[in-house]
Amino acid sequence: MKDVYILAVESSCDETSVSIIKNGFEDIATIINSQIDVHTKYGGVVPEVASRLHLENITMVIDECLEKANMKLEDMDAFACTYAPGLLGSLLVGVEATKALAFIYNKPLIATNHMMGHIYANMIGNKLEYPLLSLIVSGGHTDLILMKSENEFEYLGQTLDDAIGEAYDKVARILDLPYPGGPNVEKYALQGEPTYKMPNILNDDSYNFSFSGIKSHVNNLVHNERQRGHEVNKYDIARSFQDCVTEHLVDKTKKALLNYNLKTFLISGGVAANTHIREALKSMCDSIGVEMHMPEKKYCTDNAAMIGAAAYVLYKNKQFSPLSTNAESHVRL
Amino acid sequence: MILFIDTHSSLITIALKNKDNLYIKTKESEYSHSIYTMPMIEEIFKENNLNVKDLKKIIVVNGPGSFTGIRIGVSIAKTMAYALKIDINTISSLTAYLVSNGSGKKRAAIIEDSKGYYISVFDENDNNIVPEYYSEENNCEYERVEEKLDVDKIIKYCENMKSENQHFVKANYVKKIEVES
Repeated sequence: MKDVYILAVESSCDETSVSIIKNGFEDIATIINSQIDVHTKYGGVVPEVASRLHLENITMVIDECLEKANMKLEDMDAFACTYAPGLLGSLLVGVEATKALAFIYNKPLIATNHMMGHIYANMIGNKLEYPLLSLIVSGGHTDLILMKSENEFEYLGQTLDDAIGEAYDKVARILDLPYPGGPNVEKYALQGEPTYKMPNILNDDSYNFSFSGIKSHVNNLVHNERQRGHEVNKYDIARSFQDCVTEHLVDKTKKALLNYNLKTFLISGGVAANTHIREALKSMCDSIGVEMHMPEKKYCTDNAAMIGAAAYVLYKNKQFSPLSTNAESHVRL
Repeated sequence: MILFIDTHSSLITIALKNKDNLYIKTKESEYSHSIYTMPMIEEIFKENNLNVKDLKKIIVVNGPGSFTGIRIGVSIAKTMAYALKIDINTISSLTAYLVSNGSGKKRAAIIEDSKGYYISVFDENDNNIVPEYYSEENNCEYERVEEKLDVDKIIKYCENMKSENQHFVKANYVKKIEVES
């Protein structure tokens, strides 16, 4: 079969990223233009600022990617973009630019779900066996998804309240750690001990998660300690929190793997870059004979390579999108 | 052949001009610019049997107006100009109204949004005598022009403008956003 090159654009949050992916698994070139420095000033992502920066950068990032790949737009077999979920204004910049390219070169437009992209980050330089269990852990999601085949998604469970990444960011705020909060909580946890008692999270038969209770618990704990004039050990709190949420993820994942008798597991999403969580899930998988896949850390956070990998699956199934495609903030797989 | 794109208001305007004809498509859209704009561009070429590869220049209205609307038009315009390696000019929505209406008179273009007014004033010779600004009150004493576009006049107005670098094409928001002020 002829090689398939897809140019993919990701602009759902605060990263403008463009990739060229060959046959769904080979990353020919990826450029990520992060706005993190700008948003750090405001302590978080400001949607209007993000949209403005995407618009300023979009063609430069496309150009840089083509240059890095030493390819031309004419060489592409399809053009893909993230159309959902995410910040509408940000998504739209990438969606419209990609539509313009698909129109000019008369090639398929592939509107791709960002979460599908996270999952298929595991396909880059890798081969997957189905059925499998997929855990997405990010700032907006904590989803356990059963995939019986390459393009089938069945939600087994998800968070009932906050996403895990959101909980990390909120704990960072409570502890006065700078943006981006999640990675800083992880850094602090590395140097701490699990000395603080944490609650027992949603210990039920479902595959759902919950992270708002532990967030409130940490908030109350820090508040009470400060009121009593006690010093708060940020390192130990970060560690106690991280151990607790990790155990929650491991428990629910293990239960799903065993009950559905699955032999393959993969994680994805920004929080999948967390070393402690990766290692804990890996050791659980090893203990029950499950093969675990995790993307390279650079493919965990938002990037267009994963969108290109997911778009290839849609390309094979001829799941193309019309030029009337709109961006959407909330869409399930 | 020149492509004109305006998505700053609830009336989307797409126009195509070659040496013989001016083709125009318009559509009312509240929050669906993304659904309509690219298909309108595709249709205007198809319906008139014209080829996008023959484009020489794009003129895009880059605001002020609906932030989302502007971004849709500008993202399409700059990407097309970049891919086709052709000229691109931006024109302010206020200037577009001013050159379309009331030439030979001192006049103002005023665009309202939910919180105030974008204002710009031209003199008899089409010089911009009051630079674009945003005000919570309509404090402009000049005669106000209609919010109507005359694409021929706009294309003529842009005729001698130097092309902008596609990569540096930006939206013209005029108004600062809250976190910046």
